Amino acid sequence: MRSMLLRRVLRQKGAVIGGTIVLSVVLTALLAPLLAPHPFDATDLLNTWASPDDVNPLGTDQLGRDILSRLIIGARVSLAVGLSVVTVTLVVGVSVGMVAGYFGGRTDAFFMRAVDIVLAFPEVVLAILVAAVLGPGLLTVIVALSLVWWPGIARLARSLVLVQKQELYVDAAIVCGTPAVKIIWRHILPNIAGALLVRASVGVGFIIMAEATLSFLGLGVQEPVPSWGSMIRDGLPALRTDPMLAISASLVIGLTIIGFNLLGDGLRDALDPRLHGR
Amino acid sequence: MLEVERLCVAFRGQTGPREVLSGVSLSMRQGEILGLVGESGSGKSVTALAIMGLLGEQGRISGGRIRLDGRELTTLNPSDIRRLRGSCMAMIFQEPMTSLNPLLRVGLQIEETLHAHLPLSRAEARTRAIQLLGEVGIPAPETRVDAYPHQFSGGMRQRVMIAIAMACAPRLLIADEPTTALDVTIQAQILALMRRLRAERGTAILLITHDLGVIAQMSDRVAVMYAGEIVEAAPAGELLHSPAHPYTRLLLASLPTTRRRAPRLPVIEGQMPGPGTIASGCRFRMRCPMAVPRCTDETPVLAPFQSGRFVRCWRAGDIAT
Amino acid sequence: MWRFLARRLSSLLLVMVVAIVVTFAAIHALPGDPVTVMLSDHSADREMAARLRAEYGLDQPLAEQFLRYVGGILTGQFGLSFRYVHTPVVDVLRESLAISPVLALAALSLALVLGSLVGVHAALHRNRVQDTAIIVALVAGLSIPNFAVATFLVYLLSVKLGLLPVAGWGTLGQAVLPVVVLAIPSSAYVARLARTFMLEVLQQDFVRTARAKGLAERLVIWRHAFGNTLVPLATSAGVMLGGLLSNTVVVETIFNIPGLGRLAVDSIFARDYPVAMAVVLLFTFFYAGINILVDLFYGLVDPRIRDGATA
Repeated sequence: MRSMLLRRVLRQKGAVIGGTIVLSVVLTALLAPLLAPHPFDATDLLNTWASPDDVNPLGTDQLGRDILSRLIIGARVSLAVGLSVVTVTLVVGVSVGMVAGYFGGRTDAFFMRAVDIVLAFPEVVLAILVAAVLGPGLLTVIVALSLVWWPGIARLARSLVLVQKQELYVDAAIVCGTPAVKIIWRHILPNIAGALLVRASVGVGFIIMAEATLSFLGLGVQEPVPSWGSMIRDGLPALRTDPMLAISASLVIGLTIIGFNLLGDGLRDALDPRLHGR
Repeated sequence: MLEVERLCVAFRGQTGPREVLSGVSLSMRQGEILGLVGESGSGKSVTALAIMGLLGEQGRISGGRIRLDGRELTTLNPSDIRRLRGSCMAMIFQEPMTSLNPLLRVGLQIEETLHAHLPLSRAEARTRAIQLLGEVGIPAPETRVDAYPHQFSGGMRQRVMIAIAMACAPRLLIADEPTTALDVTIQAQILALMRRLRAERGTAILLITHDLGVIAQMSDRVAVMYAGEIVEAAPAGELLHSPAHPYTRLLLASLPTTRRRAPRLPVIEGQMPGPGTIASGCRFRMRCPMAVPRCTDETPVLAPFQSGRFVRCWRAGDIAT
Repeated sequence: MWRFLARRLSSLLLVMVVAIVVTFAAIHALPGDPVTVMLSDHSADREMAARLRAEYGLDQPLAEQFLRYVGGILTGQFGLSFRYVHTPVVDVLRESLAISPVLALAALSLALVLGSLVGVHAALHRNRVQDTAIIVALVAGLSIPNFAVATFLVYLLSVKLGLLPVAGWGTLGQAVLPVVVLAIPSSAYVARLARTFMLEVLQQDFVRTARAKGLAERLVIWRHAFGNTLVPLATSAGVMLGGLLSNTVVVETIFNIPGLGRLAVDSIFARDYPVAMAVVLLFTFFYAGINILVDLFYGLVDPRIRDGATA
């Protein structure tokens, strides 16, 4: 079964390309301290906006820091945020969704009302609110993005549980006297995990984009920690004379997100039984 | 009025083109009802779509001729065929529930056809639409003309479809399983409507169905299709009483009847061969109780049989053994 | 239909109530004394402090402040700014109020029109070169953050080729890049959906009927096929709008446009919470309002919904 799935995924050209990109980014992030030629915060005010040369393969930024090193470390930041947000949203969203879907009735109504209310706010508003309360920083980004994304996961988990509740194995477990928590956790969850993970993987790309956006606005990770988004912001004023910072960060971020999106779409297409007659 | 000569249609498949119609020939006179019978997959609908020029991207006419009132259709360019569609020849389909656009008023859907082919003003078209609704038996047409499809029942929707089809008084009406999705009482009403239209306007009707009962009620002549070919064509009465082709005979025999008391319903064993699977010989031979070696060695042609009949079988007319 | 509308309006009310409570909490329940910030150098001046506190109503009990807040909102007053001492929030917002909606609506219109055209075109030429090329472009359009796209475009068009101004707002030339950059992700989103829905609709029976009637292909595609994709497209309008609002903030920042979004972000950095929260309330109301309009739109387009077939 698994190898068939793998083969199906590999047949999707998009997924392969995306997967390669994602793998490169992940490796870069993991090996960042080893790969980066210079420390990301090593300023050199005598060497600001340097052109690419042997010492600084991509040049330096407004504080003389090596751009390449900062891009590499930036990968860590983006992935760390992506991973954290996905984890938090999955934990919170799946819990809420499964509880609401399984128990139904007033529990369901209550939780879904909460979900509807959160969904009624545009994303940017939630980000602003969190930023106002927590101040700019990494935590703000993670909290804000998790707040924006968990309702979608909750709704999906709930509908998946509703479908599973019709299945016989659930009735069998209930008849055996299995406690509800165990039914949810040990029986239903494994059956819906696949769909949930696909949804999560499709979302990672957008989460990384959102992190970059918040950092671009200055609400994300603060100096001197590099984020691709804040690097673009730093690079924009100097676009006329020293475009390397803004352009390189833009390229890296664009490629990474394309990679995640392609991979996510490929996974989703591979798992969707309807599309197999192509 | 309509002449189809050795029509061949091929569909683009994953492994290359597959021939779905292999030399279909039929003809219709003005005001005649021709019943086209066959199992699913025999090519009845494809024949209809080919005549209308609605084969789409996947299919194309790979051979043969189609002549409507003397005009050759296979060589026309798409916009010329489009002009004939709806005005000289019209078609109604099987599923009245989904064949109408749910978002548009029924009246508009009729008026569209009128505007596409006739120089009418908005007011004239609307009047005509109301008139047409009345002619097909929709009560209170002045109000119903502004109603939406979901406000009609299945039988009513099929009447609307007929109104749309008849709007520009076509010479030929093709009806592809028009009553299959309707219940029996409504079925009778729709068929009666079609007979009346034929009587009043002299429209020729190509009635496609797998239901022999409908054929018996409606047709002047019948053509039987199997695996992309016409295997028998004859006046309805003769075909139903003394079928000449083994397939036709078996079809008629498989109709449940209260007259014979048999332990099992007679069936035709096996399945119809797919397009392109039989290169030569009779396509029915694998399931035919009367098959002989000649059926494999020589491909039978559609030959005249008695008067006004055609059969594609080497043993046409032999008493079944 | 009316019951449906009433339900949506009460939902809107609930959302605004929550928003008002949350924004009030954000302004008042945060650590740090706004008066101290306002006084900055004059922190020792007790008299001024007392006067400011009175002016801002900060010496009142919290419950009363809340009532004042709510009352103010209902009359269109959002209190006084922390950053611009003595200035009503409304005055701070005034200029931006005219700008952001124009920007957003221009981009929205462009996105809807462009996205639909591209999506339909891709659907009609499925699996041919145009379709693949368009799909690739759409993935790129959705994936590359708009500030990255803006960077490239500004670099190309403004810096290298000098065709368009780099920043600011006021002239038509200045409006081109921001509107286009803002419209790109939304267009890609709409195009993708339009393509998917068109492909589905083109398989439907009534499209075959329309062709059988001999209608011009143009009518078949736009009136019949595309007409039936409008409702599913509208369903996704809400999601698209949320993204559009976020992108407005970014675009205003990049191009130095004095709109509501940029104002909100600046206010956060300046700890001017009343202004930031006012923008929050406005955005929320706008978002919820548009979603209700979209629901009304369904009723307008699909008669089955009007007759209460589905909710």
